[in-house]
Amino acid sequence: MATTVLHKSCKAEDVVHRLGQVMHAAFLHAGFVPYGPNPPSGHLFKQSCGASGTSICLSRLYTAPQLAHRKDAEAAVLMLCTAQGSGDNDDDIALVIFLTADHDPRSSYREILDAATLEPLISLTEAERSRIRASLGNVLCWGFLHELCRRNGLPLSGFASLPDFAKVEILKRLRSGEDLASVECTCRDLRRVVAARDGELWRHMASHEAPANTVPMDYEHIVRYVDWKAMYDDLLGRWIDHDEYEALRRCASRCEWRPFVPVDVKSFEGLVRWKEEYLRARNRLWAGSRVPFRWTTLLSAPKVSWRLRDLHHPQRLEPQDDDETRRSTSHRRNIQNVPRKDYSNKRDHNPSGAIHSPSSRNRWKHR
Amino acid sequence: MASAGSGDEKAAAAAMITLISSDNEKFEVTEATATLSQTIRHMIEDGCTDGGVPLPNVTSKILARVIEYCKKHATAAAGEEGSSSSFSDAAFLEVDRAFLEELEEFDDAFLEVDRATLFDLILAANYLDIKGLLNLTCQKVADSVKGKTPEQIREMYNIVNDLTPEEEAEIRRETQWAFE
Repeated sequence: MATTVLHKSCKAEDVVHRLGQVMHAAFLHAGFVPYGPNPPSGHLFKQSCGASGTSICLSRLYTAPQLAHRKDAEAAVLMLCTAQGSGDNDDDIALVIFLTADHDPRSSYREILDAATLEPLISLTEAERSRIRASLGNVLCWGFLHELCRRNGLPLSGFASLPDFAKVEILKRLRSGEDLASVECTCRDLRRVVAARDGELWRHMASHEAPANTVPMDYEHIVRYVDWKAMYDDLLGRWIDHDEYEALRRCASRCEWRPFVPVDVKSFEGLVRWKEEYLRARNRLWAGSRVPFRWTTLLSAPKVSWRLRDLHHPQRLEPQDDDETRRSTSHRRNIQNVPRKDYSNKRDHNPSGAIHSPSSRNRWKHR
Repeated sequence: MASAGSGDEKAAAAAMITLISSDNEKFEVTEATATLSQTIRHMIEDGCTDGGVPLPNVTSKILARVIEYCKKHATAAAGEEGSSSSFSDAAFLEVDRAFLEELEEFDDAFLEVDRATLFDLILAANYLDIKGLLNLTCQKVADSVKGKTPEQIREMYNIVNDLTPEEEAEIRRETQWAFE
């Protein structure tokens, strides 16, 4: 009895009416049209009260536009009822959707909702209502419309009914390899489409994906600064302090994504599948994305460890050649000629003894 | 003057194109609107538009939506062209940004349609060769599967899982990396 006793509550009534408005909009969004006798003027639903008059039940019929002119056409029924929940102060709302001619109870949608949880529906903004309407319409109501059309032999465009070229156009616009793999796993037809367009789809992914769960940095930056020495070399043979490091990091983070696979069509096509190449590239990138973690580790070291700059001969910091390319390739040779004792001196200048990054201990061997 | 006026009227009339949907509904549109479709542009260039352009693959409901899109984008393009000649660089950039924002808002609202209509728009955009519309609609569908599992995608698009358990297990093994 407890579950069926109807409980009078203004708030629950407000909520059920608001939920009704949202569901009505969702049905229309999905492509249904209202069907059957119109509700009283100014109302969206036919409303009835329970025997004790303490509960309300809203209902309305919807059908496919092609069936709207037929008498006794199959329709989807939307019912919303308030009822007292298991707790003393709880109000539940029953949401039921089913097709009139489908007698299989497993095909119906039944949900018991807690009225208190749905109270925010009353104060939703238009944008939020629109988002909820679209979500419910696209997922819940569209499924019923699809089933209604299938049962009545009506054509309804769906993903599965699209021709291959249209499917490919959509798949080409997926934003990650994970999404493409998920689509590929749904059915035989999509698996066939993806396999047949391996070059077109996986190559596209391999070339243009900005992978999820990786740091938003230019891959080339990550690779370039894969270790301390590489960064050192790029900075023309000098160490940087913490502020410079931060500036560099900010600069790197502003870089946009670039293709992280060198796309050389001639070398790949006919030799490997693009999906495999995508996976190889993905693994390379993920290995590269661990680099910033190492930077973070270094940052957590005492700040004095960053104060190593300008301990080399100052003249090495100056360009040794006007030509930029020659300068960048020649500085390494110059640095390697630095007498070993200079590094000993450097340690002496930092008596705290906290500075022993891999680079300072084993300066030229860790690359 | 009169003859010039009638010449203008004639030119305006000549610039109108009649599109005929699969259910024989006729839509009068300007040439600028119609030529957003490369298919229709080629027909106009070939002089095949007398008596209307039949579009047997597009229903009136979808054609009305396509025309709505083309009108907006043709107007925006015309406005942009006009503004580029009459504004300074800074003012042009401002106007340009306003155009883009307005178009984005229009596109967002335009895509608020049911799934069946969205798929019909994809087919129409492909048939009529309207690249902007094809990109817009396909991207909308592509974005909807973002981060979804195969089960969720099947449910969302009513795709029947016709894979045998063995096939599914094999695919799972192959694409395990995607679900980690």
